[in-house]
Amino acid sequence: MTTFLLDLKHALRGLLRSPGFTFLAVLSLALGIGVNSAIFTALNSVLLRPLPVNEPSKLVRVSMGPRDESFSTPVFRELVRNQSSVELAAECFMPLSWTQGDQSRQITGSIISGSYFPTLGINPFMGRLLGPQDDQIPGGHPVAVVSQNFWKNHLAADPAVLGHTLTLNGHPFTIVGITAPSFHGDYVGMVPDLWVPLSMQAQALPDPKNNRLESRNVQWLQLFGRLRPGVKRPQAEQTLLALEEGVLQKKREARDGHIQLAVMGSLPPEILNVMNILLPALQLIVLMVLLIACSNVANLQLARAVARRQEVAMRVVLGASRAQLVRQFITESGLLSILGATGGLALGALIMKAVPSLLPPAEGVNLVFDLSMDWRVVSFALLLALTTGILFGLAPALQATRPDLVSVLKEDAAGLTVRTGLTRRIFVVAQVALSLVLLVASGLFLRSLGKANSVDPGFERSRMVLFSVNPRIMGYSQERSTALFEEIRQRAAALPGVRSVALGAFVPLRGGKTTTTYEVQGQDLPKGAQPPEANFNQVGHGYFQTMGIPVLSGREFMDTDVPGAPKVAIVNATFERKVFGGHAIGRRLVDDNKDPIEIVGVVRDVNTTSLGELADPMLYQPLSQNLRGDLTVHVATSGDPAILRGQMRDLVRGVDPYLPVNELRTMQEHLRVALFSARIGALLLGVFGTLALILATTGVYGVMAYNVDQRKKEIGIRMALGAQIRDVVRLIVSQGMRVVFVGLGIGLALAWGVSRLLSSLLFGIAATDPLTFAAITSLLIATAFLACFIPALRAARRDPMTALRNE
Amino acid sequence: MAKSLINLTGIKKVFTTEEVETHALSDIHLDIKEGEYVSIEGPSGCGKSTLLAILGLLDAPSGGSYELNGKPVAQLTLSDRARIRNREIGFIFQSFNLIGDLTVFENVELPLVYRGMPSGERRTRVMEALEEVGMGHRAKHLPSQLSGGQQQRVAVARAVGGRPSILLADEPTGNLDSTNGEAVMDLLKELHRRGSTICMVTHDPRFANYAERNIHLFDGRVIEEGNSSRRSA
Repeated sequence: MTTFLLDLKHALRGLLRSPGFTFLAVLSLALGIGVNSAIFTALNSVLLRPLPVNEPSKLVRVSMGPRDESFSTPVFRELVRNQSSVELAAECFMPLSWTQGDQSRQITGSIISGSYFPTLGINPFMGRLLGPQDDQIPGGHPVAVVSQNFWKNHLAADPAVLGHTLTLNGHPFTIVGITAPSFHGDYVGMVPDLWVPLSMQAQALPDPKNNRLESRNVQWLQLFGRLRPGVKRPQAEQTLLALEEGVLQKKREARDGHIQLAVMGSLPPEILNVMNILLPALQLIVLMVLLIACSNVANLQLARAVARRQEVAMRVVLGASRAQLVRQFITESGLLSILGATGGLALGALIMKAVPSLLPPAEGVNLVFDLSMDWRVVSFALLLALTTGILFGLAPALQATRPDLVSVLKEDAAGLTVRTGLTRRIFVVAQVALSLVLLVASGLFLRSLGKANSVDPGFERSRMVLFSVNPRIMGYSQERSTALFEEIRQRAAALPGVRSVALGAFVPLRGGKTTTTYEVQGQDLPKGAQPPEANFNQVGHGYFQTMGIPVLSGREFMDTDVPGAPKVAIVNATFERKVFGGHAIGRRLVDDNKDPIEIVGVVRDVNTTSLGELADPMLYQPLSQNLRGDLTVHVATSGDPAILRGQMRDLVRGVDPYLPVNELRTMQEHLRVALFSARIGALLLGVFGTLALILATTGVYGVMAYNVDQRKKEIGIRMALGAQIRDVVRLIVSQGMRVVFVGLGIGLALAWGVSRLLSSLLFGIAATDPLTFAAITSLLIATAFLACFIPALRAARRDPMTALRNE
Repeated sequence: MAKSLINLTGIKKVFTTEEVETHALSDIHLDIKEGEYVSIEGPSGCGKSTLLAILGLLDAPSGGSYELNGKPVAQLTLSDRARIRNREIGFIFQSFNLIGDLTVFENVELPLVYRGMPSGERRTRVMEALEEVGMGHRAKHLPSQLSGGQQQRVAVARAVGGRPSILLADEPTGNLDSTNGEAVMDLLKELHRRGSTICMVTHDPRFANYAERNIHLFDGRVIEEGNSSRRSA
């Protein structure tokens, strides 16, 4: 221990005595570890950190069938009543209209069973949480618990808010409690603004068609549960499966499969699947940045080891064993790593502070991530630092502890330099190769983003305003909704500059996709086969004209396509080609009730999920024959859409002052959100690539400067013998660039492979885009050339006699 | 009769490069007894330092046998060599070779740290050694804050602090002016008087005469061996 403390003391002093070296090494490591800590913080927050509830490992998500179907209220109640293995809770996210004075806005609520909070086992920040007593009489418990964020952001963190009333969907709800700051709901990232009891479904989630508290036909509740003491997950699953006989088998829910219990992940499965790929991929990328940074540090340490060769030799003479010397070196690199990790954690925290501003606006969902650094992030950074410290400190340590004692002690400069040269060149090759890979990836994303901005999505992208309203949450009946939308449509159409207005259920490129199953009339499905799926939208008349989607054959939906009239549909060109092999007009599909649906039009393909995607079959049905509660109003204008956007809230307020307007934006703004993943990809890779370029250039410069310094006598002799400055520069630059070209060769091969993995994320360009490869390679050649040229020129301009005397 | 501390028989050292074979030492026979003060003299390139490196286990001979304290060293591992250097041999170099980042105290302490000596005992030993060379008052200084003569005294303290069997000094006055050179030689003489065995390489006959026995090397061979003409300063 004493020896270790001495090593530590000596290491610390050595670093303090070499402030330039220490600064560069710590900066390199801090940059490398910083970006790693930042990405790991996100990964930890989203994938690793357990929910901040009591014994999160005992929580299980209850799902059913391959499509992860929800449960009806009666089935939930029966599952609770008929088993004692799992304490079950139910929830459903829903939009709510919150009215303050004459203003209404849409917020996100969660309707929950009385067992929700007791099952999670959490405590309130203030007041009380909802419990079984609030889940007794339908419509009889108008109470709400608000989230910490909602309390802070919308209720001014008023401590006297308990007992106050919130008007939700036009109904008064009394605030009875506030959740703790650490609790963000049972899904990471998606935080409701408030929770209301299941008994208040009719007020919070009006459904004119169904009594959701009684109907077995509406599956709307997501379930989770807590395993009772002593019960294991498989055992609980068996218990629930056994109940299927009595509770489910005769019901629709059993159609697609069985009840399953899964470990309660913190993300909804569809987001979890994306994150499971995205975050580890990002982590891999930033690990490459760290490798480049570590190569830099190793190179600096090798240079320092050469400078310290006499000290090392003396330690050997004095009886230090190799292990003792290596330990001393490792202590130094470990100390550097700890300093780098400290700087890195600080940098990581700064990066994470900036992240919320990078997230896309997401109305209807509160995206809240706890991006604080916990013990996992700190441990990760330290582990990373110590591992890299040991691994990259080892090479210099092993090199330095094999000095040619006799020559070094006699101050013969040859001692260590030749051997470290190769190692240093290997590090430079690695740096150049890894930088090239990162820069190519970054270049591809940037080019792809540039292309995306000019990609034709198949519809009008410039002069268009969109907004959505959801009258159902205000208790509108279907007939009133229809009348409301018609009035909004007519009022908007009457505005100056508006070319046309249409309604649609889903806006293309909104994220995710909506599909429906279909069957072609006269083509029976094989027994047991699932019907095919197609992308789906429900649109009003004039939609295709408003959106600028050409009708290739047949017609648009018309006023005459009403309930009672023959059911009609429009398909895209890909549907026509793939399903019918051509000529879809007049062909028929059948719906769930086996009613025929005639195809009356074929329209051009549009991008629905991502820009530049290959089109899938798509089916449009008229809104008039398939009414919905929430719709998006599409307004095409001949003027500036930004000006028109400002008029829309007033327009809706004129129709119903309590109806919230959501997602009000121009189509350009909507597409910017759609391009978020491409933009963030380009931004991140751009930052990482630039970081890699700076680190690699520093690395090349460091090696060249060091080599030139070691060869100053040789250069002096050459100059004394009549070499011109250009001769010396050419000699040194050509030697340096040889190493760089080896790195570029390896890097190009690696980048070629990596870019093919990225191909699915790119649009408009090939993964092996020659322009990107050529531009990045040229950029690296140019920076590496400068990194070689500057020290070479400096050496060549030195007075040869000074160089000779110095030696 | 004093015990033999170092015994070399037929030692050879050949440096081989791609085209040239250089015989640095040829057929060296040398016996150094406990308490002796031996100087090795000769012109530049005669093999003095090579011989000293072999004696100090810093280099291995190409042929012949070497016994230290009666034990052959040829088969020793690198780790054994390090241990023996640490315990049995004290080195003094022309260029002092103090470690710039360490204080005077820490420089002298270093071989004792490698030996695994407890810190209390180390402190006593270091201060004794520094007092012995008259540098106790400079214990907290860095080498850069000392004159050349003072640095060499510290190097001597470092060499004797571990109470080695033999002190090997390679041109200990080579980087010093004549006054400081004399002072260091007096210090070595005093150490010898107190019982230390010393083997010193020098090309300066004045300093060679401080030793009680002189060995002359030329072209890697011992050409003359005899008692010193000067017994006292």
